Amino acid sequence: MSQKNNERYSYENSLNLFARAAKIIPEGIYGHQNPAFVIPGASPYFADRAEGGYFRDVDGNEFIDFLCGYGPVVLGHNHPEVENAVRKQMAKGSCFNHPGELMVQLAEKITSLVDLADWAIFAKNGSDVTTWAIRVAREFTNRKKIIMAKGAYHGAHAWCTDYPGGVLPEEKENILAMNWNRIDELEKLTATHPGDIAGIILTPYHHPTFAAQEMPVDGFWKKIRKICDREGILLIIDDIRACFRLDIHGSHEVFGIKPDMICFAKAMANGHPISTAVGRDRYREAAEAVFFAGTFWFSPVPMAAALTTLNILETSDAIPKMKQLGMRLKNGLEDLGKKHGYNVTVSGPSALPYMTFDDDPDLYHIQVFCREMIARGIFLHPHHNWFICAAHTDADIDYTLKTADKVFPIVARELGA
Amino acid sequence: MNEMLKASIYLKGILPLMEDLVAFDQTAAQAIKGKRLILQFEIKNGPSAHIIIRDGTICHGTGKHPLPSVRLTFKTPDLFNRMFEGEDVRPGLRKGIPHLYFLIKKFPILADRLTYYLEGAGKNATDPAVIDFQVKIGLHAMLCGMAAVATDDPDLRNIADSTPFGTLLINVLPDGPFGTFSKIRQNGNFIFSVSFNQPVKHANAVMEFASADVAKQLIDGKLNAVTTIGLGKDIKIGGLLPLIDKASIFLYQFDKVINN
Ligand SMILES: Cc1ncc(COP(=O)(O)O)c(C=O)c1O
Repeated sequence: MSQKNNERYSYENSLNLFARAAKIIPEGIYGHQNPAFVIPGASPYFADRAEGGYFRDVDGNEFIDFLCGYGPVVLGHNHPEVENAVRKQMAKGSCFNHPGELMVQLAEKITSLVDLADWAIFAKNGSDVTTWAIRVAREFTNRKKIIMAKGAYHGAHAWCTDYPGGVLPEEKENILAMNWNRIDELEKLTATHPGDIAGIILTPYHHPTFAAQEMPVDGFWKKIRKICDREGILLIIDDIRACFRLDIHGSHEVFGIKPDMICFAKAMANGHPISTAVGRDRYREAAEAVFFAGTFWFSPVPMAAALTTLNILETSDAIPKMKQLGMRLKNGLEDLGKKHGYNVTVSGPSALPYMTFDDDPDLYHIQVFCREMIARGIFLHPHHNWFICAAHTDADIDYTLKTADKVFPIVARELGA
Repeated sequence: MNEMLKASIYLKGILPLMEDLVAFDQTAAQAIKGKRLILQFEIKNGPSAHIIIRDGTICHGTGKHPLPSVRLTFKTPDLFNRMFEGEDVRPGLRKGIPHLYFLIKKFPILADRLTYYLEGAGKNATDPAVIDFQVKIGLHAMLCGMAAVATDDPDLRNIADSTPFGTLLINVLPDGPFGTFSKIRQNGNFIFSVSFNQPVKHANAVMEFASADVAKQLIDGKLNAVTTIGLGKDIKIGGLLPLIDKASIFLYQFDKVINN
């Protein structure tokens, strides 16, 4: 696939499909993929196919894909080796009464890759494992409370969702929140609830929606570890989003974190549905005491995809390549911003960048910017961090920056510099 | 259903519509003609609000008035809610015996007229002036109702806390009505406030209805806001979406409470 010509895209088929969907599907498209989260009326809603670093929507518009399925696509869409492994397993079957050998192989692979992992369990979604992990922490400690960071996303389950629909206050009663990077707030929480906190679940760095990403301040993770040790609290790292995109051994290695358990999902099977939680041996008994099951979780197909994906990530230059491409994108966008009179910041690790206009916390500028980039074949989410994949090329970054050079002035014309 | 929350919504979300009502509806205007009084509603250990009736107008305020002419006190929110919904409930009359005639004979007229437009026969009116009025009170109710829920719903306290500071402008194109729902800092804490058809300096987020007809459909529950936004034409949103997101949670709750 390649990008289309220079005309602005339109989205009639997406809109028509959405009108049909709205009649028979609650919200038409629910959750993060709901159009209101992106740019309503001015971005694709339905995809048709994808290849490498590109996707095509149902209107035939082609895009450089900087969202990568919200992260899972790490090697590029439709990766031949991964899909080969998938097809091979599909030919043998995908839903058995039992797990296949692949599950053991995958657990062996992950426990060999991740330093603290003495064991691994598998599920499908990120939420499956984050929810299970906090229960393991409760089981292990015989305590109730869990601390999370405000604005962090750990899934759609009742304990962590921001949305109150159908959620009982009791389900949140034992969830405490601190602001990212605020050790003082954590100290306060541990002092207010002595002996009551089972676990703290945090992402390796803060990647909220609608705002710049925040790296941990110096010494953050060391202090967290110290507090956890002092208070007997389990440190659970939710590495679902960055997953193995930053480091084949897990993002905790990048940030020098010493977790007790880690949840991974997105970038481990190049788009195939699988998640995992890993932990140290001392939590194994508690892990065994927390019942965990799902009809589709033992499917060997995503496990085949995961094994191949992890092997490629381990043996190729995919990870440094994503980092380097992301760096070019970051520097390029920040320079272009300056050139056009804007202070823009591209935050987060370079393989998962996100741009904000420093002087517009209301997001009007990034919304227009992304709308116009999308209309020119570059899919950038206005409110959620972006993803570089290993199939992206220098030419994609060049084209993106060239387009941004045209789009910044459009933003200025519409909203003023 | 939390009766206290419902009472708060009636007092802060629906009672303000009396202002618009007497400005539009002849029968309602007639009912307060020549009257001059300050009517206060109080719920024991709960919210209060008052309306100032003067020179053919009504002005609504939340909280207690320092010098009300009439104080209607309700032992429980449930009693107040039943009265508001038209049941024959006798509140405690702490003050204002001379106004008894107005209270018994005239005030119910205002309530009846409001009901007529909100959910009675008037809901299906085709007269454009009536439709405009309904959009106006609908939007006014939405804004005040959101603020009431955001302030008083104990189950949504976390949502109120995590609502970003700022002003959401809701506008009906091409000529209004419009109004704002804001979370603002006050004395080291925050409050939610509402403005209606007042100039707006900067809106952190915007929601725009393409026409009064679209707004009316939404108010009447005939249009699904989420899917309409998705269709990208009739309702447009922009700016600080988390503010819109939280406001819609308050709006949903408001709707749920008054329709229960
Ligand atoms: C950091 C993080 N944790 C948890 C989840 C939940 O994963 P899932 O949507 O697969 O349940 C996500 C999903 O976006 C995430 O980014």
